[in-house]
Amino acid sequence: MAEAVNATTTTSTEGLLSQLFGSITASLGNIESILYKVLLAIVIFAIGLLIASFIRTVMKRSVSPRLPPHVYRPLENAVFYGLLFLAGMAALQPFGVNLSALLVAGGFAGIVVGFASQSALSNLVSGIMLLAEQPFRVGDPVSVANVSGVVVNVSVLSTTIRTWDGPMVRIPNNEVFNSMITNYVKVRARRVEFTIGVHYDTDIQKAIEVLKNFLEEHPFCLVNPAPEAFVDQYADSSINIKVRCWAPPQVWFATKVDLQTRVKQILDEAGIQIPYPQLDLHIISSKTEIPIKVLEDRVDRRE
Amino acid sequence: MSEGSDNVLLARAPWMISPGIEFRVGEAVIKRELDGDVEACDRYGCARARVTPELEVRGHPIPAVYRLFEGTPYIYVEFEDRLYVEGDGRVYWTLAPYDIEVYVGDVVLVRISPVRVKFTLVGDVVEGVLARHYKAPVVYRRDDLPDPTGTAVVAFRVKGDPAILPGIGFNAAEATLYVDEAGFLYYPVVEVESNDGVITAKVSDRPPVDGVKPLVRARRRLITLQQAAPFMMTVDVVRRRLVTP
Repeated sequence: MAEAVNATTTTSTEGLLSQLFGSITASLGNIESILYKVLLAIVIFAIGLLIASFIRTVMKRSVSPRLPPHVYRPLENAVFYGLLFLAGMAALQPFGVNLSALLVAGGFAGIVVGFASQSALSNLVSGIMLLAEQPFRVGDPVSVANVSGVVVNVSVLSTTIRTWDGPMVRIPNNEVFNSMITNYVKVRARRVEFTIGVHYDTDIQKAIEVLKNFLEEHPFCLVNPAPEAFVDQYADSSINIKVRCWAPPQVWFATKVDLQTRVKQILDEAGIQIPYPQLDLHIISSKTEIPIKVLEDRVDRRE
Repeated sequence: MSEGSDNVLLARAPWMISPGIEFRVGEAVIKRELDGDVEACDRYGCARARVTPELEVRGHPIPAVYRLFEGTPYIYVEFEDRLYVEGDGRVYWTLAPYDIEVYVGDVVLVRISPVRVKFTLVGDVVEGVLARHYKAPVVYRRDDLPDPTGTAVVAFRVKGDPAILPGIGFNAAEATLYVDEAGFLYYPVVEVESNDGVITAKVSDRPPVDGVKPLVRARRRLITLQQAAPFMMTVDVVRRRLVTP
């Protein structure tokens, strides 16, 4: 009996050992397989990384010199990290991860994220369009979406403008793209124009001549197109003379300020008067006599 | 012209301004007081600096594309009378402005103009080119030019079809000015071509006359008044001894 028990115990121990050995062998096989897969994944990702780095180097050499930094940087990042993402996806394949399923899932996620961030995407697309079209550059004085100032930065999502009075305004590119853009340096010259009123007693020819000489002497009033001064309106209190000259856009504001400041002095020196608003009163005489009686209040005077 | 051995005045550009010197060319004035004050003026304003006596102050002629602002590399010379050209390669002569770069040591203090500054648009408002404007006579011989004080001599050769030129424009920003023994300044020869009614002008790297020296903007050896020619028509040098307080 005891022998039988012993035999049974020996058999069960052997079975256990063989089971243990079998499971260890299987585990080792699994580990070998996992190690192989990990190694394969690392190799795939490393190859992807190498390809991405190579493409980035090629881009740096050939594309970077042809594009402004604010256009090139996002492009380089998109290409590099896009390739890394694809390499990562390929590296997951040995583990049985279905790439197409993941991409489909990613696509769905992209659509969901896209809907959620519609405005950001719209700005991004508008930013790319603006960078391609280049209606203005950094440093240009512009008017965009009711904001006037100097362009400080153009990124893929927004445009920053420093307004004439100092504050920085960030405008989403979507709004910039859909707005009317006025660029003040894309032209070769800008017209300075203002109106000055002279007294009705003024010799108009003399006034026009004085003003034309003033414009012709000014260094920033271009020779061609020639400056102009002409009677614009016979107004209530003055003869209004319109003064026009073309100036380089870079000095347009300085020219306008200088001309408007000095014109009074020029007219004063020439003896030409700039009148105040005035009203002539004409009393029409009546045939009926109006009796006027002046009463002297002696009592009040004495007081 | 020389009043003292310690004060050396140059007739030929670049003009060295010693203490106690007032230098005039056209409307440009560079004045250096004995107490160290330097003042450079033209009709549009002045720039001042206080310098040590050993520091070099000089005026250096440069192409007229800096004053009053650096808005264009072009100079347009409008002729007083329109010029009929055969296009046979003949050389004509005219005058163009230059600016003076005033150096204090190796630092540019200011750029001034010996003549009035005007600009013009050559072409229309959208496609045209902004250029520094100057009105000058055009002649067939160098000797027929009037006193070029404050301006540099320009020789231009016209090839191609016959045409009537109202003026010539050229890119002067990179041009090297030349100075001759008499102190006259020159732009390089401008090559003008007239083809199918289109006039193109290009500045060459050749001086228009022999015996001139290029005015490079690097530091130059001093040339004394005694070494310079006795007559100086391009520069009207006024020298006065300033009294220190």
